[in-house]
Amino acid sequence: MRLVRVVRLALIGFGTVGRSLAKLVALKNKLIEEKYGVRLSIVAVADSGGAVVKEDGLTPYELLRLCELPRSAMSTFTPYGLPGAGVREIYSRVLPDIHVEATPSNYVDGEPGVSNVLYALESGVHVVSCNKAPFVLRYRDVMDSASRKGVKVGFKATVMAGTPLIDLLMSLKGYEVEGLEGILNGTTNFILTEMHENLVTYEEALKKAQLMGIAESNPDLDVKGWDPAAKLVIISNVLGKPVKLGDVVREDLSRLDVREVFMAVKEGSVFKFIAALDLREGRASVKLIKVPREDVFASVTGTLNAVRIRTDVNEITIVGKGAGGPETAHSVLDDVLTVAQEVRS
Amino acid sequence: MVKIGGSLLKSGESYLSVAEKIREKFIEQGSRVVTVVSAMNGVTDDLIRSLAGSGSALGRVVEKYTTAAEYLGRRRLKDRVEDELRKLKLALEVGHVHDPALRDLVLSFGEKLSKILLVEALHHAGVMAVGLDATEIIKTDATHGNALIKYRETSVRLRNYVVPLLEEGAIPVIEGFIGSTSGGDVTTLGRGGSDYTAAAVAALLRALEVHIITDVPGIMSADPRYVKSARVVPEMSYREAIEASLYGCKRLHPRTFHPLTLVHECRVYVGSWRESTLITRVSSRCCRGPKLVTFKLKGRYAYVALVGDGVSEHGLVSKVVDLLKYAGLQYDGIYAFMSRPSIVLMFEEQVLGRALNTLHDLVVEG
Ligand SMILES: NC(=O)c1ccc[n+]([C@@H]2O[C@H](COP(=O)([O-])OP(=O)(O)OC[C@H]3O[C@@H](n4cnc5c(N)ncnc54)[C@H](OP(=O)(O)O)[C@@H]3O)[C@@H](O)[C@H]2O)c1
Repeated sequence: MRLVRVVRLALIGFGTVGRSLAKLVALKNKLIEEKYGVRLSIVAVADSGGAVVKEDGLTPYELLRLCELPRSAMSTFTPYGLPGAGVREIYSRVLPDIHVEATPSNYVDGEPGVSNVLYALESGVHVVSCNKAPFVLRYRDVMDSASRKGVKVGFKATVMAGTPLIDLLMSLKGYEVEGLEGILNGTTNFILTEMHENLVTYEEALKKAQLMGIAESNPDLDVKGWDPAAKLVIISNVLGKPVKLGDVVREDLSRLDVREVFMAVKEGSVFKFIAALDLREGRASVKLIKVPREDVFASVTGTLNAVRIRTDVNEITIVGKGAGGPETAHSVLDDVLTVAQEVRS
Repeated sequence: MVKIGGSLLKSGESYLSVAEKIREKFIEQGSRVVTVVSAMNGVTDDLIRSLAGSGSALGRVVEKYTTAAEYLGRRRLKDRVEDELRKLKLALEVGHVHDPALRDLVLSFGEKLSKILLVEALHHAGVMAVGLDATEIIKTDATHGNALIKYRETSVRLRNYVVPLLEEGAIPVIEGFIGSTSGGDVTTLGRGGSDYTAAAVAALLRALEVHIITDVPGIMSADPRYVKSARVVPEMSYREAIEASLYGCKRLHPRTFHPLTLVHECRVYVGSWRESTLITRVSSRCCRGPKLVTFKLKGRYAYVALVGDGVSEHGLVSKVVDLLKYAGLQYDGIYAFMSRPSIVLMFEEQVLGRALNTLHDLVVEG
């Protein structure tokens, strides 16, 4: 019989992405085991109210039951709930092999993501994160800590979710990337698409996006351009030419008037919220730009994302879904499996 | 496979009694069960009304589910139900009524809320139940309002989702009537949609039995409003059931049998907890012949169909003709295709009652 290796996961943050990942693990574990010889075992789950810890791993039924709990109610799960428990307490009870960070991206002080990720790395635990903040604010520290401890860090879910832009950029070893631009935020692209196709106001389009679970109840991170700006910073870090978040020039999408949209459509163009990074000049921006209807970006609608990478050799365009619980969770799972396979216990 | 019809789900109490019954009748007998659930009684109609702008209809939906959630206790449950109801209201506010995708999204809340309540009720009954999202499992084409299930895509998901749970001894509960397109938009499956879901899930999981349970006993040999001596038909075939539904028998939708014919055959029990009709691919030899009489009104005519495998054969047709002559019943047309399990007679509407009684008592029972 083939040897199956058990890989223990601690899942920190149990919102949209955390829950999708828990479901995915519950439901795909059999397939994963057959394909990769790895059995994923979720030994801890945490939200802002506390944690659930089960040393020998939560069963599929238990994971799905957790997904039925309302927000912040993790710790009420009997008999494994621990009210108020955070990462330290979890680690004192069970040391995971991989730490998955799915807490909110906070660009003010990076918390709780920065502390959690650094704590995990310092404890010698591999990290996979969809939280962007540690890779925006403390990229160097995170990478240094990981290499010092000889552990891996996966973060491809932070940019374009299920579409492997980070992998692609990392693979362009012989090329000189000069810059890139594109649509890096699904929520705002959905809102713009609604505004253009149905000629509705920003407020109405936002409401629909919220209803469909695409926009947050507080949409500022997306609409004011923080999220795409953060992604540009991560990309700049990956390409070794760091730009600071505060230096990214941002525009506010909520200012766009439906009359301007109407005029643009009449003259054969559409507004897109374009994130651009110029590596030669070290400049980055997120701006509302009118693009002609024939442009690739004009046909990227709804929650789709697209990026055009300019290198010294050619241009590469990559299009794909850039957000959503299941998409992001799959991308996290990819990183988890890569780490799990590379690292023999 | 157990499918719980909306007519059984009228209040918090009824969710509990359904849960108890599922435990007694299936789980304690050692069956591995997957449950498909409909919306609460009357909810889908009220959601359609609220899409047309009726505030009172929306009020009734909110009232029904909140009261049931309160009855079933637990703060957490109430929070979840209220959260879904809030989303429903938001959906109605956005209200592009002409947008079929949004319309299906609104309709899907009926089943979704019902599922949350049934899972809770099953826990009360001591059953390890867990809700699965039909939108993640049941994949359909993009015909909003009347979508067709894509069996292959759905099958893969079912296996991933359901098998590990069954192995652990848990009971998955899935919403009937709803699915989603490959792009993830919510779709609904049209009339009889929940039965269709149940049949598809059962066939794809290669289940032995499908129990379609409502508050009325099985398929009747005639409409009891017209025919006092009508009784439950004990057994029939898929073909007969499809034929009956085409000629006005409302209990079943022909689509229900599509996955059962195409993918895998199951024994289908249609009825209440106590009494039901067993429908199988071919009915046993003993059971050929007329099973029931049903009708459909069209203009001033009633199309009355005698349904049963073999009834269109010559002997029976001439017997029916003789009988009608003897009873002095005028008919305006008759057709019987050899390939179909029915004889259809056209009557003026005023003689419908007499025609149904005569055919029922002398041919079905005779
Ligand atoms: N959603 C997407 O499509 C997407 C795509 C790519 C990347 N991301 C990134 O992925 C991360 C998660 O996104 P999401 O949509 O799942 O967010 P979310 O729904 O807001 O979930 C965040 C989770 O983190 C928990 N949390 C907050 N503070 C915590 C703390 N101090 N300790 C432990 N847990 C804490 C929250 O707890 P409560 O439940 O108690 O509030 C919640 O469970 C974010 O950083 C986001 O930027 C998301």
